[in-house]
Amino acid sequence: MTERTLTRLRAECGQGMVEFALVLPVLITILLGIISLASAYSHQLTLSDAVKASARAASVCRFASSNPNYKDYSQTFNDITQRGSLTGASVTTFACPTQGGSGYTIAGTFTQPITIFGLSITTITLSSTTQGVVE
Amino acid sequence: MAAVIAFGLLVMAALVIYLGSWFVTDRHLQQGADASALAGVEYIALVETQSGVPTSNGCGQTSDGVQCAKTYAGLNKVGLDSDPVFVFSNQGVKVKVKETVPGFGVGFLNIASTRRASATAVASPLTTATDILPFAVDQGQANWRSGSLTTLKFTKSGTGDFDLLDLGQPPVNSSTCGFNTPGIANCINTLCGGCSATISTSNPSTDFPPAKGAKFNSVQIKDAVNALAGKTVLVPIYSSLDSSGNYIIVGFGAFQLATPSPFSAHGTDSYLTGTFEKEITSVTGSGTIGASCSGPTFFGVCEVSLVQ
Repeated sequence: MTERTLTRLRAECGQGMVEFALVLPVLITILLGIISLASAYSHQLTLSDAVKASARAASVCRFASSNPNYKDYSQTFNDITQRGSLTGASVTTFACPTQGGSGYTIAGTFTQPITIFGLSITTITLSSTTQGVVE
Repeated sequence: MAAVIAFGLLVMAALVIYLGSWFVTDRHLQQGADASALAGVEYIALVETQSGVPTSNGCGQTSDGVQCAKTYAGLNKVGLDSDPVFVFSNQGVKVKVKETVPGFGVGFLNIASTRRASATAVASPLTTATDILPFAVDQGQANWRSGSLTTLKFTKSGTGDFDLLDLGQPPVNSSTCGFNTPGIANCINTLCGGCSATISTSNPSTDFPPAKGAKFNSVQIKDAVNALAGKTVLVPIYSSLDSSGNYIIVGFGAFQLATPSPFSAHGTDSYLTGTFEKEITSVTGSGTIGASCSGPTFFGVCEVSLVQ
């Protein structure tokens, strides 16, 4: 290998490092975007679980007064969303009907911030809804 | 190298979106299937307990369990894989749903995935009734279905609106609910603390003897009853007495004791005041309830639960 070839190789290596350094912020941004997106999906699953459990609680709301272990539908929702770090998640209010068989709707929402480098780029509203029948 | 890493990250990002969509869709489908199956079975329970289906139900008065499940699948925005079907001798509803998650149109990410979920709910008869007051109420008592404040009369002769039951006898597995005044008072006292007295609904014509030695107007029973003011309890309903003088229990009534003092006494008679909220009587032999949820153990009440 000649001296000229070695010199060229060292120069190209330096060029590659400069290019990589330029692209690195973009790659890290993409990586953080992926993490943020995965977090949003995870929160969507937690929200769905909370709405589902809340709907089951709502379906037996008429027996709340006679069941000392009954947990209110909104309390059920809050417990699950707080465990899942969904601070600020909200659920629709629902007046328990007096007659069994009445329909109900439970809808939960959570505003998910999409952050990269700690900066909030945008927000997306996660939602989940269940309709059922009161027992 | 940067290009290779960038490509890898983009593939990873695509997979996050792709697989994330699967998980979210699966959860949405299961949620919709569960709610639909429960709505269908609730319809069965409502129709067969004859409490009526309210117009706000969304299924309509002329629907049935599977149609109701189908309606609620639509309300929960899940697509049906096939029409819901009756299972468990028409006492359950099975719902199958599906949704197609589209691919990205590139290489292996172009594969559209059809996600599926199913749920089965069933309405089943009660197996036991617990927390029962030892007061046998006459089924013929005029006001007991009125839903308004009712005063039940107790007479020493045992011919009033109700009598004291000895729940300490078989088949009740309890040593707390005896036949005398302290035993009855103890039974009432322990109701909200988890009295172990249980009447099995496996035999709707359970006979229980009267608690002949107990005095309803005793201070012990009076205090025990008044301590339950405002609470809803179950009282056995009897149709008549058998040849041995035992009460033939045909069901239960959900009875909310009046506040602040459900117990009262005037002269030689004593009274219990409250409101009947729900009738839970046996329908055996009545022929008025739909056949599918009936049977010897059916007490006009169905438990609704998800089984799959």
